[in-house]
Amino acid sequence: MNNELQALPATRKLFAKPLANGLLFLFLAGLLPSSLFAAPARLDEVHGDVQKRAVGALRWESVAPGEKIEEGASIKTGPNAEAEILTEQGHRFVVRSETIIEFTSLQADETKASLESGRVLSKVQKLNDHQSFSVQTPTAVCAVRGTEFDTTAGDGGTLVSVYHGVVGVATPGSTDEIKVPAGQMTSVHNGRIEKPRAIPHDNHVHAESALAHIAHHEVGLDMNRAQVIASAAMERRLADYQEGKSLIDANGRRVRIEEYIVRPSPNQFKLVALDEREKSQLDYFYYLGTFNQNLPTDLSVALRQLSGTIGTAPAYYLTGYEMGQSNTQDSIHDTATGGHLVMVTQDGQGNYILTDPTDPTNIRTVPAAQLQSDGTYKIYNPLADSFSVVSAAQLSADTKFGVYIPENDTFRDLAPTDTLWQTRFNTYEHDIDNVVKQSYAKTTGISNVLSVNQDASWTYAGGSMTPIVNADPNNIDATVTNYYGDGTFESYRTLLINDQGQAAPQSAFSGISTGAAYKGELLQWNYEQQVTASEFQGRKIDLVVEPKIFIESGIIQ
Amino acid sequence: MTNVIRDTWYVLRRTAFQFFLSAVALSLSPLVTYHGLAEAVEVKPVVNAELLGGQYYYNGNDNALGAVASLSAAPYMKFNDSWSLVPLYIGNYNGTQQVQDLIGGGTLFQESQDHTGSLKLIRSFNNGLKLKAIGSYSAEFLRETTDESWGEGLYDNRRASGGAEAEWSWQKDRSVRLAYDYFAIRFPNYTSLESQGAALGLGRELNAPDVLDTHNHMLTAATELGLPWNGSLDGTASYTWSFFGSEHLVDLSGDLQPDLRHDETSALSLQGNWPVMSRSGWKLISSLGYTWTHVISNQNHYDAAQGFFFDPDYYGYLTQALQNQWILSVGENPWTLAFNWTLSHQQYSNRLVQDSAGAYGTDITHANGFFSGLTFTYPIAKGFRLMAQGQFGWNDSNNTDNQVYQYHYNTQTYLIGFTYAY
Repeated sequence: MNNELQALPATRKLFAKPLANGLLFLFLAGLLPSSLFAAPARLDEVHGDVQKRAVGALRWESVAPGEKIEEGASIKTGPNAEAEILTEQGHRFVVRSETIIEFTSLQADETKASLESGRVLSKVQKLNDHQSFSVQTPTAVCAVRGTEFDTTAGDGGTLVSVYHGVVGVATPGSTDEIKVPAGQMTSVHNGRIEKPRAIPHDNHVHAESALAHIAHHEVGLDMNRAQVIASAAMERRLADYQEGKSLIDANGRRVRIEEYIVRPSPNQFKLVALDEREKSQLDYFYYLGTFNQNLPTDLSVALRQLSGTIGTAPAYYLTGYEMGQSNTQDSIHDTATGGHLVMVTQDGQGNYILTDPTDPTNIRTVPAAQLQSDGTYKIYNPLADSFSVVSAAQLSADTKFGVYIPENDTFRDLAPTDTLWQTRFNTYEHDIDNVVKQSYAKTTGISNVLSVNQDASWTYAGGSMTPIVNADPNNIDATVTNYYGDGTFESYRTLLINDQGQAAPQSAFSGISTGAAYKGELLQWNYEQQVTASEFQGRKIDLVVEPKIFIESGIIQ
Repeated sequence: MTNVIRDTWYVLRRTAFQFFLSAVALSLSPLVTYHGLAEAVEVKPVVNAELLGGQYYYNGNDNALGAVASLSAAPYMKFNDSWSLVPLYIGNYNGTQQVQDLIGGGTLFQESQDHTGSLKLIRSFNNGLKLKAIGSYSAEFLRETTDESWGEGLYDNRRASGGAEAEWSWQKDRSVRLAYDYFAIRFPNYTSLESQGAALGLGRELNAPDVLDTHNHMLTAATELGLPWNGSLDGTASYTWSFFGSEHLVDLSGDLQPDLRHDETSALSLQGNWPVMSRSGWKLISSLGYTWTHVISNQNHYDAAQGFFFDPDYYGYLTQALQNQWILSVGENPWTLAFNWTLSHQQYSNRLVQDSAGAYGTDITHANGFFSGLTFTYPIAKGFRLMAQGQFGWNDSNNTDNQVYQYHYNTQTYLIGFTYAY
């Protein structure tokens, strides 16, 4: 307790000094600006050329905001200039351009100004019984009680507009006064006061005070600034739209697609397509290609050769690839290894000659078309390395194969004299959720696979696979289901859809006879593949992408 | 030792206390100054509001009826000759698209709201000089698709800014301004798909989720000057340096580089205003404007979908626009009729055209736009006006690939409603 008592004076002293300092500062802060108002009025705003003539002086001198206005002083404004004078009583004179006004009385009980010429807006504080406020012109005297009014003096007389309160208007020397209420105006000329009438709207506009003008100016600048910053945000959004990373389909749903490449090693590239159609539903596709040599900086040089070449052997070809589709839970995974070139020529006797350039003894002769016992033909597609059966009527058309000529970006039919270079793989494996469903490996004893169907042996889950194709006769909408010997299945529904989600009709591709035209039409549609499998347990992988990503990268030929 | 700590603590406390008292005194001084002479703080409210309803047409097809509303409110506060404060709120709601909106990316459904709050402190000097400090924060919410709800729009964005400005006015409506602004734009809901793919081992090493977010530095010089025939000129030149904190440069091989993207935007805007006619209640005012915008970016574009096409200057462009406006006002409390049009030409630096199949051509992409509007207002009460507005927009380009972005369209919007200005 004693300690507390002893500490009290010290504590008082501790706080008393800064408190005194603060109060002193407060006092000075209040006192200091007050000294500016030692005069009965001061210039509050100055815009442009504003001059003052002091009492008894002959010369006009330029002024600045804050300058004192003594009783008897005059103010003159130039073209486009304006000044605001604030009196000690709080009255405000807004002196318009090209005006001369003298402050004849600035007493506590009387504020009086003489408007020689020009225009002045008076904003008058509420007056008591002993106070008065008036503006006199050469032709009129305007006396007021708590009001805001505009006075214009010129050769033609005086114009008085009242915005708030009441103004009594009289001619000099007369006691007869006409009261002009708010919203009315009158004019005085040749000693006659006109009957008050409504103020035109334009006059209201012109009566806008300097403060209002500044306020609008500053707010306008801030709004412009906010707009500039908002435009920068919109620019970011625009760029994303223009790159096709985000679009809105006809059903009003967001579709997001991003496509890019990754280079895991100098001789590899990975093409990635990410697809987000519903929020948080991410499906993706990727294709990882491994080449025979390091890839050039410009990938397109190598990728143009991916689908094969005519004439000379391609400098770049795949030695292996990996392809995946996933919904982040389920996956489809394809891998191929042992990639090598195969030279395809024709012998003029209706056969394709497949040659291994690394082992000239490894040659296979494949008939282009073989007549079957039922009158149909088994034909060989050297581009896809596949066999199919066609009718005699289809034989001519279906044995023409369009090849892409990258040098001039065109398609033409494979000619009998062409030397075609293609890539084949010695092994292949297809997995669903990491379970091998089908695979092949080259037959023992040969150096390289020339034709997969003849040089490789296949294995399937459960020992067999039965594909069932179910195609929509009207639309390009086909489902291929592979049933395996172990009782499992995988199903691929592949369709072309427009932006409304409707399947493309078969007629969309009717009459198309060239590969280029086919691809051109294909590019008008979206490619959707829905994959289900026993292992997915009801889930599916649903990928919607523009087909051009597959075509242009050579994955679809 | 204890004493030393205690004394140090007291010194700090005392200093803080003095500072607090000084700050209170300083903040109260304007009130003290005006007491007995004038009102404590002069406040000039500036309010503008619009409430309009109407319909939007895109390539001749109508869309649902929608409303457009906006409000800006600022109690301009003048404390004394030296200090003023401008708090400002700006709010906009768009329930239907308008022809100047971002149309090419999505057309069917759009609803947006944008809110901005700003605070500006102004220090005025006797010689007409003003120094200003400003800070603002904006939030834009977009519902562009049926599966987006408020607050979850993919392109919702937040914009924070701070800046300083010097303005010198030597007479009424004659001034020069020099300003610096920093602003950051953030898209909180946007995450690049590539960064999601990174978790799956599909992404590039330097990919990032926030590739749209930017930090920006803007320098602005502006002036208001007189023109012959009682005209006035508003001129603004600006330079903006935008830094993308997460977006790495893509190179010819499709890889991302350690360097980050930055853009430079230079802009010039000139507008002349003239009173063409003023007689017996009829007034005709015209303005003619020109804007020039040049964007340079160090980012390249790699189109993996188009034969691995590489464009080293995909983002740069030059836009020029010519604007003209005529405003006719008739009567003492006038009705007004305003007609305006804008013609614009955008020339990309090196963005090659694409055909309808998406294949690249050899020409450089350009786009032409035309916008016109007709607005009628009629006074119905003090500050309130009835407003009817028709807008027409047209856009065309030599780029015929409309699969992901519409370069070719025409739009119309018809709106009717009320405005308020104070």
